[in-house]
Amino acid sequence: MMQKRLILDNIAIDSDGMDSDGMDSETPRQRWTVKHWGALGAILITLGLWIEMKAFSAGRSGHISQQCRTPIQARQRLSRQQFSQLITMPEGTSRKPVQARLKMPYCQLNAMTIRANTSADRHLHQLAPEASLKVTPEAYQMDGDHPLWVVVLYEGDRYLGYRFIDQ
Amino acid sequence: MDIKLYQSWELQAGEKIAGYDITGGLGDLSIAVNGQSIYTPFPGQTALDRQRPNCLYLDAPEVPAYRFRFCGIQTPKLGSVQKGEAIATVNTLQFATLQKQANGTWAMVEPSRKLLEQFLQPI
Repeated sequence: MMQKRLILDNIAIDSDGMDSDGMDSETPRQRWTVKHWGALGAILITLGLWIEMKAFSAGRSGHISQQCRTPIQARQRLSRQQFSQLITMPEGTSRKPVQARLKMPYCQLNAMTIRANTSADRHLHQLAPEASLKVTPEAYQMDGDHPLWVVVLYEGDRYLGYRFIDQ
Repeated sequence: MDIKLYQSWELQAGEKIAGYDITGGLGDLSIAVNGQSIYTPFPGQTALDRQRPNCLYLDAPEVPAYRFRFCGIQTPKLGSVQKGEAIATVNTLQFATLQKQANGTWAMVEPSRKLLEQFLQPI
């Protein structure tokens, strides 16, 4: 950073020198040498890489909670008991009892139309650490008490299924 | 990947009839993509059908209970895929939306236009 500032100072001095109608400023005029071009190039490349990195990560999905369409509705996480109940519920079962067991989601994600003329609601739930210990090793990819997120999908008055999000 | 379909038609894609391959069946939508790419609008995982290596499945954690099948594909991207990534190129695409059933089978359902458009266009 120090180096960059010095270079910018040099440029400022250079333009100052030129503006003063040939009068000599106290510091000698800096000519735009190869060294300056190289430094400017390095700055531009760094800037370019930084912008591209930002764009790339913006293109990737951020954390699933960034896709919340509603404000956070409940901070309660799913307990081990609730989680156990969720994984035993068959796909296609009635929605109301499932929602009653899971209680309020963390938030709702935007609805999707996957099947023609059918809107699918997606609820995002967070798992409590003790519940996440029960997850099978394949699904639980990270160590420690990394909270797991679960997306639950409903269509009309039916519960269709869930998936873990491992971010 | 091996999946069991809910619907068991007498004639299924992947079988032969009179020596010819059945490339699409009831439940597949045929689209002339003509060599262009198909994309995934969400992060997920892809895998080839074990019996039909020109069929690619896409699973996305953000879309529970559904799976998508793309047959007739070439140059698949296998494994983890990111939002917006091209997952294959294809001439004539046979597309199916599959919904998980309680008995573990996958049922072909009518795809929505909105979602299928997302598979056919970059973000």
